[in-house]
Amino acid sequence: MVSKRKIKNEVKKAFRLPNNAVVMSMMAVILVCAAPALVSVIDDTVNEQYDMPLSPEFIDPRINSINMSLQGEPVEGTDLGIDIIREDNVITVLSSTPGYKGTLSTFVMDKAIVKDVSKIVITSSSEHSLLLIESGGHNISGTYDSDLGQYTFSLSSIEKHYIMQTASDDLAINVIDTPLSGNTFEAVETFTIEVYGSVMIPYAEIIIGATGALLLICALLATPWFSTSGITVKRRR
Amino acid sequence: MIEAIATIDYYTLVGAGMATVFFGLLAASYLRKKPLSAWHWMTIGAVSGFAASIIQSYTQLFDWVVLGLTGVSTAASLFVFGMAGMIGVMAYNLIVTRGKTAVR
Repeated sequence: MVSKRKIKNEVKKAFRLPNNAVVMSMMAVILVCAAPALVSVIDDTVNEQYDMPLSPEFIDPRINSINMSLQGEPVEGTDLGIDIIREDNVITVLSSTPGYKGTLSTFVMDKAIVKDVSKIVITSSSEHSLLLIESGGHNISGTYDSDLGQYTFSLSSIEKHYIMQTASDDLAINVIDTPLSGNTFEAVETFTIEVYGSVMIPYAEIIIGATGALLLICALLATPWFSTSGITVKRRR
Repeated sequence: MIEAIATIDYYTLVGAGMATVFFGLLAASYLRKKPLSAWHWMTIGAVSGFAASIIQSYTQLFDWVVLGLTGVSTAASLFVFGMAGMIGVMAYNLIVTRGKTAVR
């Protein structure tokens, strides 16, 4: 039979104040895990709650057709008579030969806009296998609402960094209908682009940068030569 | 298979390795005064790798390390410096104290 006193002592032991080494390692774990987690939570909140419509300047759209096929036979994009028109934020892709499959890559706006963007919503007139936002080979996938025909792309702080570092100056919409899917491009395809965002402080930079500085201080305090008690040099153990 | 090998993102791999080593050393700091064999280290490595991948899926930690390593973001670079500093100090302490403690 274990005595009450023994249990009390064990509980006391378990909840005694941690030593410096434990505090330091706990702090390091919290810093490394919590900072990116906090940024991602703020990103989600910003994308959900602080969206206001923006009016970005659209560029004259350019279109690239990749891996096109018509009734299972590979064709060149030029053979499909594809043309593109932009009216405000509505992109219309016309074709004299509907029923084709492949990838249509349409450059629509300057990528510099992503700094202020939290969300891009693209409403498509028909369903496609995949719709991505791309810049210089970096793709961002979104969520699809089949009832509204809307693809929603929430841009996190990381995605914005990735987009800004690519060599391309423009942001493109990649619409893909894979050969094995039942989806094909119709004679008239419209894509309505809505951009949401706001001007805000670079919270991700501040949080991650401050965490880096704190980690450096932690590293310094974890050495045998520095301690929290000022400039006193620790005794070597 | 060849395509899969060609598309490996080495920066992400380094990010994953750095996070794994970081969590592994922190785990080792709690196992002080116990002689650790290669098998112990392999187990610690596997557990911390698993922990790092779970943390990645929730917080995108590897991506911040990639942004820091590539120099895209100054803040992320500072974060990577901090992490590397902690890894360096913990590894040094473990070596000098013969595995007794990672934080002094």
